[in-house]
Amino acid sequence: MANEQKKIIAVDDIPENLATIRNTLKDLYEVYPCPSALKMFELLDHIKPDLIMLDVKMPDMDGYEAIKKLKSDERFKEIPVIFLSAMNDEKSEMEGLKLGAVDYIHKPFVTPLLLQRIKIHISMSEQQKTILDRNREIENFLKRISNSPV
Amino acid sequence: MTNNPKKIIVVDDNAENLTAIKNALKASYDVYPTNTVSNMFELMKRFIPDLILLDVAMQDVNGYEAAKMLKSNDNFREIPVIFLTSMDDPENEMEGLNLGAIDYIHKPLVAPLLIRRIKTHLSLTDQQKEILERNKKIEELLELKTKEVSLREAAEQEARDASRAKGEFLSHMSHEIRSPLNAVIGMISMALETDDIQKSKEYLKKAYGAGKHVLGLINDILDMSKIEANKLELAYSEFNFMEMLTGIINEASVRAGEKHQDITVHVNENIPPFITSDELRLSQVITNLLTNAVKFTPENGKIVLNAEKLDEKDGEITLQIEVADSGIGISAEQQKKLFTSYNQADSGIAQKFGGTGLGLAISKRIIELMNGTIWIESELDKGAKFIFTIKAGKGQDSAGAGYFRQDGSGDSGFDFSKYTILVADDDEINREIMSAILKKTGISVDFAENGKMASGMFLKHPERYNMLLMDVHMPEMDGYEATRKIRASGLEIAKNIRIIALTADVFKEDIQKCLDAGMDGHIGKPIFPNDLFAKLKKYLTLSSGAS
Repeated sequence: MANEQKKIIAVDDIPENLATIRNTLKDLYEVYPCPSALKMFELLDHIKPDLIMLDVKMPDMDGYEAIKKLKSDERFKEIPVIFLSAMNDEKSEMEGLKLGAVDYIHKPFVTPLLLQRIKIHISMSEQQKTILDRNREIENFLKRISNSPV
Repeated sequence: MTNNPKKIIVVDDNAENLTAIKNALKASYDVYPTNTVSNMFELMKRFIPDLILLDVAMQDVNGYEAAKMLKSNDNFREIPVIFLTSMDDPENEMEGLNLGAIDYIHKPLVAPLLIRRIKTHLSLTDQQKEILERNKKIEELLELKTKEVSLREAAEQEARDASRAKGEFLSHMSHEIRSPLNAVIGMISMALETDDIQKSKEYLKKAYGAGKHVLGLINDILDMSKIEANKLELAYSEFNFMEMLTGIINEASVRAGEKHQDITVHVNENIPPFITSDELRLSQVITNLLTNAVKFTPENGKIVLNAEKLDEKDGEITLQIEVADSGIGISAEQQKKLFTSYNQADSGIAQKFGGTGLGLAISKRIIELMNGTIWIESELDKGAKFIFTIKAGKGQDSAGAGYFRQDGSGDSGFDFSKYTILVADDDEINREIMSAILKKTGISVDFAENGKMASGMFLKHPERYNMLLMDVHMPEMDGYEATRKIRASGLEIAKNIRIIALTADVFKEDIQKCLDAGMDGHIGKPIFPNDLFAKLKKYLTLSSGAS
């Protein structure tokens, strides 16, 4: 895997939560704290994160709406999303996973566990990306040589 | 991804837990419950599951140990593992996740959430598998295409090399053909201008030699193009080996004599007098080797030809013929290229000694067609020895009727004067040449200017002629039609008269076309008197023998 730090966007409407998450992750990742889902989409125009941590309950656009929008957009649907929420009931978790999140972690979180779960999903998607890049590279190459004059 | 339900192995030492999990999952998955880790490994001898649900605290081997064993085995390490345990403290969860589990779910289990999480993980691993499979396919395709490309590049390079070699060859040939043609034209014009008969003869002799040289070049080029089109074929007949060899040596001796070279010939007596092979092609190979030897051996040098029978089996003999010289020799590097077309060992050689550089490539192909091989033993400045073997048929000693030695004496030992032939040729110069050549023999000749005239003359006085020499391409009526007309006339004599094609069409299919039209043989142009006399004798004798 590349040595450069992976990028994580953390979305939470409570500044203290954002600060905690940022402090938890900042040594290992490049963290982009976002106070709202709308801000997250603005940010996504500029950076391509390796993972998104989403709160569920937020004003303007909640976490479920945000993930739906992410998963329906070709540009973002491959980015793994983990919910980090105080809504610890089964129904909420179920909803979050159904909408395509790769994990649903309850607040208050246990730091090493949070880090470990993030690591698992970033590494899985990284592996996929590497192979996909390789595939794309080969496909382009094959296209080039089949277009080249014989 | 697939329609088959996924297989999940569940390992828990508590029977009730196992049943509960099985019941929760069985609607969506093929569930394999087992109460120990060793049973799990037993099961995995039969199939590889899509996911493993592992309890942590178990009696025989605990879940962590099991995870370690799975992750350290190449066959199992990619199987996703989820811990499902009542040990819900962060330390244990951390331990489980550290060991490579993709999730750690706490008991008591909430069935829908368990199913949901399993679904999420299976879909992630499916995606991964799909990408990997796609990768495998396109990596294979890549390898194939890379091979194709490198083959194509190699072929293109080869084609470029071949085209360059041909280009060089053509420019060389252009020079090679123009030079002797220049000599032909120059010498003839000098002969025309001089009143000195002796000088005129001298010029014409040189023009004749240059003309023969051009013919040799053209024959080589045609042979090579036949070889490249895979159309070179042999025509087998029985002939006297020694007589063939004598003819070749006589001719080579003339050139060797000019350089004061000594040619020695040893023919082992174990070679039968008559053999079956392609006489013309075998002569061509030996002539080529002797010509090279004469060419590359300095004045007063030595040339030795040895021929012997190596083997005999079921009427088939293996002949070995060597031509050794004391010439400039050929380096190991040059030897590698020697038998390839368009490659004289050194382009400088072509410039100095002339020739097409095709002789050895042609010889090699002829020898291969005769089921033999050719090789060379040589060192630079120490002479060269070309050795080849061929398979030939062992002939009958009594055979050879119709075989005539081409001894160069033209009419010696044969009385042409009692024969009359009809020559059909539309070209006045050719008729003049024929008239002059044949005059020496004393044979009577009538000429016709086309096929119509020829058939008319013959059918009017069929008994007058012993043989017809028929050009093929003529105005009004061509040689084929004239032959067919004569054959179809109904006269007995017209059925048996020898009609021989006399044409510049020299390919096998041309000869076949003549035979198909009813002709008995073929003489190719340009005509060399000695060859013509030999053929005339052959066919006239056959005619009288037959009549």
